[in-house]
Amino acid sequence: MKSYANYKCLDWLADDLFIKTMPSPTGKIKLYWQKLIDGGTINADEFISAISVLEAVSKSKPLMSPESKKALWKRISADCNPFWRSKKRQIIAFSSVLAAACVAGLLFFVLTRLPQKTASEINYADFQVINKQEMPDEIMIVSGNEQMTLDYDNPVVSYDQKGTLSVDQQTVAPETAENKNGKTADKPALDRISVPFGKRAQLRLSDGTMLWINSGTTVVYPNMFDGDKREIFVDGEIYADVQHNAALPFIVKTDDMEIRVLGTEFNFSAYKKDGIKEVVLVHGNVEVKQNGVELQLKPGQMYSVTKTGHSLKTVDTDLYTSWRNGIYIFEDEAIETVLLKLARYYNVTMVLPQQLSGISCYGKLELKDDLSALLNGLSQIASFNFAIKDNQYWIQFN
Amino acid sequence: MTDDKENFIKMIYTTYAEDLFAYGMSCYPDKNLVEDVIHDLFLDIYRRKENLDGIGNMKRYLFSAFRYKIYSQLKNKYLFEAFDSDDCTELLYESDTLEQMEALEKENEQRQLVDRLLSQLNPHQREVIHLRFIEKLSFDEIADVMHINRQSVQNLFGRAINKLRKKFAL
Repeated sequence: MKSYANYKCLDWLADDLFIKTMPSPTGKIKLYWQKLIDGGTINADEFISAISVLEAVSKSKPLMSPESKKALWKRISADCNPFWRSKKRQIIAFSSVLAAACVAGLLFFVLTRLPQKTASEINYADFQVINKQEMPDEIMIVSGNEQMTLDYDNPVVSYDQKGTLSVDQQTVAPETAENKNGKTADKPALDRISVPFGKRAQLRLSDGTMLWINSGTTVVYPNMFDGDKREIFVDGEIYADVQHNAALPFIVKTDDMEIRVLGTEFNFSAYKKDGIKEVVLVHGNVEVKQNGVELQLKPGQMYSVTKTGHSLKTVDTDLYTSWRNGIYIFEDEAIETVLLKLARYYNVTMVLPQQLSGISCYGKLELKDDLSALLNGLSQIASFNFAIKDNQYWIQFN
Repeated sequence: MTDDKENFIKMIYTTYAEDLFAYGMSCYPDKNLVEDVIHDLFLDIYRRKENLDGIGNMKRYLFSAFRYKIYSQLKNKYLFEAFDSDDCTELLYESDTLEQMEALEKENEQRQLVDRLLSQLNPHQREVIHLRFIEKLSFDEIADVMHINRQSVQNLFGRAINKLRKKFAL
């Protein structure tokens, strides 16, 4: 152990280990300092005096208000290039066909947030490993007894009113005995689509409802709707543009939550593994039912449920829907969270240092690029290094 | 292309604006001045012709460039003392009495007190204190950012701490 016997206040403050770990040391370092004080080999007064100075000055750090920060960026952005303008992400697909039939409502149910890790939770291990999840490598559709895999990104899968399946406008109705006999598949059956990490798909249901399906998602749905309601089941995340039909409410279900709409556009995400649920309504009106609790959301509101409770707050809805266009938007998000989301999207394992970096990010990422290229750019901005070893991404903050 | 650049710059801005602001305000508590300099700094980055990829440590680069800018702005306004000159600013604040200081402490406005103490240091001393305590840089790194040698950093730091301790009665 280094000898600090004659250390005065100034010496402590000139000590790099002291400065870098004080005033809130953690783990082994904390023990190290505690041992020094308890051992009586240092002048405790000088030590405490140094801490007080450091603490006092740290607290006096000038703070920039979020308003100032926003206002200043506006100024910079305006002066940088008069042609920069806020580009509204378009919600285009099928709007001409469906706009008339749809009530003006957008609902987002998002469950993509990973549980926040806190510094105290990760004291044991040096690294936290985010393991990839078990999913097929290719998009898989199960229709009746048939199973089909698609090896490319973003296919459009659709069902006509009779429940006939086609992929990218090519009819691929399974050659069942019934078909051969000239009958169409006129009995409703439950079909299923699984979209692996790193891929997305579009699904047009028999009633004209359009679903955008995000990575790592399974949707179970009838090939045609009958009865008095339209019901689908989701594990993962979807964005749905629901065909209006007041007589047949559209219901999206996950294990313990239910969203009921009469005709609207909404984003629904429920990754079972995360245990966190978020419903975001852009405009219109929806009803969320969970554990016997029913509530209606106002436009722009997000209802979120975590293991510890639930909350209702106003959010920027763009952040929750941009994935449809292969873009990931994040705003003041911890770099760790960004990396974790990427790990999920690309289905890789990332190894992060135990210490939170404290870096937060803003921006858009084009998710089509390959992950290494993407990390290359990101690492420049957020000051981290990464290395690929044994098919794992090792992250180190500078 | 432009969109990429906007994103990139906005990302840098969002990540580092607060730190740059705090750094500037610590040395020169003039919000307008500091914001103007941040504004100019990002405009410069936007206008940079060459790729930003060449910048190794973004934060270090920003701090150095920011510092250079703030000083060239100030040069037009004031005449600056050399780094190791005696602290002329100190005289301006000597009138603070002990009673006043105690009153402040009683009100438990430690932050105000510290702000006041810090304001009694000269800008370079405040800068060293900020880089050391808030940014937690080593003396070598501080020397690098401030373009002075390590010994000068240590001198500035030592004097600043002694003054703080005396006033703070620690």
